[in-house]
Parts: sequence; structure tokens; C-alpha cells
Amino acid sequence: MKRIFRSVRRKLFAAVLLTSLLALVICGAGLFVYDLQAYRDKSANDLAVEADLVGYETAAALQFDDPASAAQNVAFLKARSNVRAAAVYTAHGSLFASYRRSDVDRAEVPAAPSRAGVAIHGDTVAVFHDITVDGEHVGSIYLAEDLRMFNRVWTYAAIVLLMILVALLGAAAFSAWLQHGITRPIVDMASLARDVVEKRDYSVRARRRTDDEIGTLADAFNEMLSQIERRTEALVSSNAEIQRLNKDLERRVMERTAQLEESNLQLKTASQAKSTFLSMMSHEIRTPMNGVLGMLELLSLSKLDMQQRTTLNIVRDSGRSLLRIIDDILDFSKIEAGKLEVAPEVASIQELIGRVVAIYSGNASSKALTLSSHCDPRISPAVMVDPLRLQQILNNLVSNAIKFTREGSVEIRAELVERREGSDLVRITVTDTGIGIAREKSAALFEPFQQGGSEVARIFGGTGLGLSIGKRLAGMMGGEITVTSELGRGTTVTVLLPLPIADPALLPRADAHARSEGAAATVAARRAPPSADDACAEGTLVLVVDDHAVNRLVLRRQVTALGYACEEAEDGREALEKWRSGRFSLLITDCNMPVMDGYELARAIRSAEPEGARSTIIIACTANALKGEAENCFAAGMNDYIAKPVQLRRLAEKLDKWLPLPAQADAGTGTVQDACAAGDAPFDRAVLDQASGGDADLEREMLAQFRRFNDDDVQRLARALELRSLEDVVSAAHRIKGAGRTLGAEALAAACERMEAAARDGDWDAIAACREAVEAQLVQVGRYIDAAMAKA
Amino acid sequence: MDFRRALTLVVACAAWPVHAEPSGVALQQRIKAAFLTKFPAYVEWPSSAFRQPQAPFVIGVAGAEPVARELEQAAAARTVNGRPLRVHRLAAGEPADDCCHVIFVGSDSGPERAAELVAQARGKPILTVTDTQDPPAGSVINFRVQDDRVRFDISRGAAERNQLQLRSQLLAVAREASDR
Repeated sequence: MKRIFRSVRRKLFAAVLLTSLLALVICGAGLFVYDLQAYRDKSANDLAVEADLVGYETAAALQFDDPASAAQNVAFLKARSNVRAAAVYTAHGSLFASYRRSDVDRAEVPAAPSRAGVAIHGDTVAVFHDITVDGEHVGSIYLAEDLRMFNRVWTYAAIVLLMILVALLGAAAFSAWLQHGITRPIVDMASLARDVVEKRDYSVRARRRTDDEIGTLADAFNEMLSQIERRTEALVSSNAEIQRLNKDLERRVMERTAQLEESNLQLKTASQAKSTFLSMMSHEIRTPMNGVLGMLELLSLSKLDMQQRTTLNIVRDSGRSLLRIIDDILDFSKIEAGKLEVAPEVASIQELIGRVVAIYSGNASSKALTLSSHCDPRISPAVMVDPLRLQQILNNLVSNAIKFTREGSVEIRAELVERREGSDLVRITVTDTGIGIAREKSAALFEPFQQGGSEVARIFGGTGLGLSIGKRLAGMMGGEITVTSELGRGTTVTVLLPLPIADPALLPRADAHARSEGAAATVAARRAPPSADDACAEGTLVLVVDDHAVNRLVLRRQVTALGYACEEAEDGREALEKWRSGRFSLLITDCNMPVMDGYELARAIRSAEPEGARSTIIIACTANALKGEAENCFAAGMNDYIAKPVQLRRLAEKLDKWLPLPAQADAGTGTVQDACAAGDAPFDRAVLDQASGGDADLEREMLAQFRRFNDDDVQRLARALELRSLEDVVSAAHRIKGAGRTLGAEALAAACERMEAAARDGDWDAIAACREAVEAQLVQVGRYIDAAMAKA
Repeated sequence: MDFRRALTLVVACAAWPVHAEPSGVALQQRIKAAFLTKFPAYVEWPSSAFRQPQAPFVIGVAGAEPVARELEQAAAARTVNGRPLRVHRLAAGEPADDCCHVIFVGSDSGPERAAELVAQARGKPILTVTDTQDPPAGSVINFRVQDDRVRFDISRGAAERNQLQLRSQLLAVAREASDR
């Protein structure tokens, strides 16, 4: 049904048709009912009139008693086929004359008249009528007639159907007309709309056919189309605009990206340049500093008077300060660049603190300050920490503390705060009795470059970077640095560090020699260098390679000071030539050189050597302080490396390690200045003189350092004995023995050697026996040193 | 006797005896009297026939005394054409042209009298009724007895001459209707 009426045209057609049909049917039904009624009434009425007429005609027959005439009258009704029967009755009610249609039963003619009136039975209408003449009742007449309703109905129905047919035809025609007037414009508009949708052509317009609502609709449709057209045009143009803008934007983005890339490249280049610059600076500054400090060190070995030695010491200290400042700046640059890294390794906090104390004990004693240290024995003997960096922090703190304390003491304490999850939380405090810092200024301590004329600047001097770097380093180690200070009373700097516990077995062996500071001690027992040929024969000839003449000279002097003979080469190529002679057992080479650098040299030598036989030792001497240098050196096939400026002590370590001299039987036959009076003196004068080079000040300094280290070791020995720790007894006794031998305290050394042996055997009685001898010797040594100090 | 009952009686006498009593002079007289009262209903008189609107309808009877009596009896109870009915006995030789609307000449009056009266009425609005085997010319209606039933003949020519119009019904029931 919905499908049939999908189009307006059909709907309209159906509406017209249905409306017409409905109206027709209703009208037809009404008229039908009315007509049937009217027909009946009319039939009845007609019959009555007929009866009246026939009666009138028959009245004379009745009055003059002429039934034949009457019969003749009623017989005329035969002409009317629908008359069933007729009868005339006298005034008395007797049948006077009658007629009946041939198909009508006789019984239908009533024998006697009824009351006047019309009666309808079924399809028959019957009437009785009085016949009067001049007001006199002369008889009655009866007429019966077929209504023929069925015929009537059929006829009527046929007519109505015909009418409906005609009306429907009319409706169809009307609907066709309507379609022209109403549907057609709508259908046209619908197809137009479809076209618009399909073809996106908004320029077409609907034709206005009429002035009615459809015309208005067409106008509105057209208006809508024109609006859409305008908007579409606007949209298209704005789209084009957007595309144009997009392209513009894209182009600009590309431009910017290119600019950014370019500036990024510039930044990278700049950063690279900065790094290179820093590296260069490090190298370039360290190279002359190498000359300065090396020569100063060598100069200190010569015989100087008091004033000269003081001057030399100041120059040396200043040089070292300058070097540290440079190191600080480099470190800070690395921090800023995020390149500074901590490299934890197995280390001992106690040893580390000991090293710091060893470095600064001279400074402290020269200012008559007590530099003491205490290490909590509960702290694990071996922890994971970057020893160099932690020492850097502590060096800085202690150096500051000494610098700003006029009298009193500086104390380093390491305490265990707690032990948790395989890690020791260690608090290291550096406490001084110095000038202190105002509370409001302590916060600024850790800011870099805080040296602008303030008290802080005075306190830290230099670059003002030390504490800032320390704070960063502590932070990188997972710890922190705090300062508590009271103006005029002193300052306590606290370093709190979590230190993972490590296996003590992995601790690097402490070298007794490494602990001794000062060039004099290092060269004390050295022989005079032999001739090159002797050294060659001995297999101890060294080749020093450096493009820098001063550096070459310094290194040559240092090497010879250590009892080695050496020759020089200016660059890698020359060095390679000389090495080919096969006379050299060890090469100390600079890394950065023209023509052929150190790495190339090493690689060339290694490739020239027979497979598997690394007969020549190659030690890199590099001013490059940046991380990764060691790896580069090892990768090139070098055996070891040493940093510029080369300290005599370090050089001695390396040489002793890689190229030990034959047994120095004739040690002690060197420069004997003057004999010490007491034959039973605790120190062998000859050894002492050789160590000090005959310099009384140097000798005192050496003795002071000896006592400082010795005090520590003695304390450690006492504690070890108290705790009955054989291992610690061995260690402490060994150290005291080593230090004693160095300065010629042979009796002490012998006593310690016995104790060490006893401890190794686990013989506590023997240890106890040795203890007395050791303590007696220590008392003598102490007295001797006191006397030496008093002489100054 | 009231009108209705009398009418019933008259009509009964007029109709019923036709078969019940095939012959009977008295009955025939009564029927003739009844016919005489019924004829005016089928005849139209010119208006000049009546001097006044309410002038009585006069039936003149010559001879035929029984008929006259019957008429007089009926006259008391009925009207003719809306007018009171009066019966006027025509004496011998009495002219009938002045007063009567209907003149009945009984068979006992003789043909001469009948002819005289008919002639007198000729051209005048008078319905002349005779009762003879050989009615005189100008007689409008003439009774006849046929098969013992009272019937009548009509002369339309006479009626026209007397300015009378006869209705078709009357002509239809007449035994014979001539243009004479």
C-alpha cells in the first residue's frame, strides 16, 4: 500500500478518487434510502390517486347499478402491468366488480372492503378507497400493485454505479489537471532536487508555474539553492584560501625547521667546539703547568737555602692551586654539560680519609692546626664509591677548613648512621674552629661563582666552584651536603652518603709508597742514573716522547731523578725509528703530537712486535683529563697511563711497577751530608740525608709527615691489638715497617717486621713481646723528630 | 327516518332487487325515483337555471304518483347538487318550463303529455326524463327496463339543446346514448 502511494501524484489521485468515491457512496446511499422511501410513498400515493380516479369513473356504474360498466372500468387497469388486482365494492360491502392479473391468485382479491387506506406488504402496495358522489358514499374500490422494489434497487444501483464510474473518470481527469497544477511542479522540483544532490549543480532553478503555495515553495527552493550556491562558492574559495594558507604554513614550517636544524647544528657545533675548547684548554694549560710543577719538584730536590725553599714552596702551592682551579672549572663545565660521571669502585672510606689527611697534614701543621680524623669502625671496610670524586669533595672541604681557621683544629669524622639493605649510610663531617659563616649566607655557599667580594668569596676564594661542585658530586652519588655554622665559632660541613657495601677482598692493595707524599721521599733511595749504554745493557733504558721541549725536559729530569737513563724523541715517527734500534725497554709518550701521535705510535709498535710478545712497555702521558682517555690508551695497546702534570711520586709508581731497577744494593751510598751524632739514633742518617737531599727543611717536613702517618698506623695497631685482630695487626705493622725503612728507622722497621711475622703466625705471646720493642722504638723515633722540629 | 338509513334503503332497493325480484313494478318505481335523484350529479345546468344561489332544485313529476311519493320521501332527507330538493307535481296541462329543473313524465301520462312537456322544455335548461317505449324527440333521458333491470337511454342532442352537459360517466352507464 505505501509503495503504491510513494509519489505525490498517486497520492493526490488516490485522494481525489477516494474522496469522490466516498462522497458518491454516501450520497448514493442517502439518495437510495430516500428514493426508496419516496418511491414507496409515491407508489402508495399514485395508487391512491389511481384508486380515486378509477373510483370516480366507477361511481356512476355503482350508482346506476351497472357492474358491467364497472368491470369494464377496472379492466382498463390491465394496461398497467404492475397492477395486480382491483375490485369495486358496493356501499353495502359486496363485491361489485373485480380484476386480477393473470398470474395473481384469486385469493388476493378481498371478499369485502377494509377501511380506506394504504397498506404495504412486502413488494405489494394495496389501497382501499371510498367512492363518494356528491358527498354520498356509493361504494369502495381496492387496488393492489407491485412495488417492484427489486427492480428499483437494481436500477438505482446501476445508476449509482454508472455515476460513480463517471465521477471516477471525472476525478481522474481532475487529478490529471491537479497533477498539472500541483503535482507536476512538485515532481519537477523533486527531480530537480535529486539532480542537485547528484550533480552538485546549484545553478539550476525550479520553474515557477503558479502563484500559490507551490509557487512560494519553488521560490523558497530557488532561494535556498542560490544560498547554497553562494555558500558553496564561498566554501570553495575559503577552501582554496585554506589550502593556500596551509601551503604557506607548510612552507614556513619547513623554513623554520630548516632554520632550527641549522641552528641546532650550530648549537651542536658550538657545543662540540666548547668541549673541544675545554679539552684543549685542559691540555694547553696542563702542558705548561706540567713544566712548572715538574721543574719545581725537581728544583726542590736540589740544595736550597731557607728563603729559596720557602719561595719554591709558595710557587709550588700556587701552581697546584692553579691546577685545581682549572680542574674545578673543567669539572663544572662537565657538570653543566651533564658529562660528569661518577665511577663507583670498591674502596675503603678509612683509607680515603687517610689520604685526605695525608695531603693536608702539612698545611695544617704549618698553621699549627691539629688535623685529626676519626673513622667509625662499624663502617664496612669496603664500599662502592668513586674514591677520586669523594676525595675531591673532602679535599675541598678540608682545604677550606684549614684556610679559614686561624687556630684550633680541623677534624674529619666518618660515622655510620645506619645500615640498610646492603648499604651503609655514612656521615662524613669536616669541623673547624674557624671564622664561621653567617646563617643567612650559608645557603649561598653552594651556588657557583659566589665570590663577588662577599664573605663567602673570602672564605672560598678561587673560583667559588669547589663547594658547588662538591654538592653536585654528592648529589650524583645519591647523597647531600649541608652546612651548619656559627659566626666566630666554626663551621661543620656534613656529607651524607649512601654507600653500598662491597667485598673487602676486592679492595686494591694499598701501596705503601703511594702514601708517601713529597718528591724527596720518592727519590730518597734512588741511585744515580747510569749511562745510556749501561742502562741499555741492563735493559732499563727509557724513551721519552713529547713534542713539547719543556715537557720533554721535565720528564727526562724526573726519569733520571728516579735512577733511570733515558733518551728523547720529538714525535711518534722519531720515537718509532729509535724504538726500532731495540735499545729501549719502556716508552713514556705524549698522546697528542704532530706527525704521529701517541696512539699511532703504540699501534705501530704493537704491530711491529712479534705476535704475543709485548716486550716494550708503553706508558701514555696525557694532559687530557677527560673521561675515556684511559680506554683510548689501552685500546691503542698501551700498558698504562699517567696524567700531566706528572708527579714524581706517580712516575715512580709506574716505573717501579713496569720497569723495576735491579736490587739497589748500593742504596744509601749517595749524598751523605753530615753524620748524625748519636750512633744509636733511631734513624739511619745516611738514608735520611739521601731522602732529603741534605735539605734540613725538607728533612723536617719528611719527618713530620712520617710522624703523622705513623701516628695513624700506631693508633690502628693499638686498636688491632686491643681487638686481637691478627689481620689488622699484620697490616698496621707492615705499614709502620715500610714507612720506617723509607726514612732509615731500621730498628723500628725490624721490630715491626718481627711483629708482622708473629701476627702472620697467630702467635699472640710473640706479638705481645714485639709490642714492647715497637713501642720503645716509637718513643725514640718521636723524641728524635721532636728534637729535629725544635731545631727549626 | 334519517337520511342515511333512507339512503341505505333506497340503494338497497335499487341494487338488490335486480336479481332477487326480477319483476316488480313498485320496485322499479322506487329505482326510477332513486335514479331521478342521482342524475343531477352527472348533469350540469347553466347558471341561469337558478334564480338564486340557494334556490331549491325542483323535480317536476307528471303522473307516476309512486315515483313522486318516493321522491318526496327522499326530498326530506337529501339535497341535490347542494340544493334542497323539491318535488313539484305537474298537473295535467301545466307547463313545466318555468320552475322545474328536471321533468319526469311518467308512462301513465301518455305520449301526448310527454311530447307536450318535452316540447315545452325544449331549449330550456330542463332535464327531461321520459318513461316510454317510444320517447318523444327532445327527451334527454328515457327509462327502459331490460332483463328486468331499470336502464336508460340518453339523447345527447336533446341535452345540448336544453343547454345541459352530461358527464361521461353517465353516458358510460346508459343503455344507449345517441346524438339525436
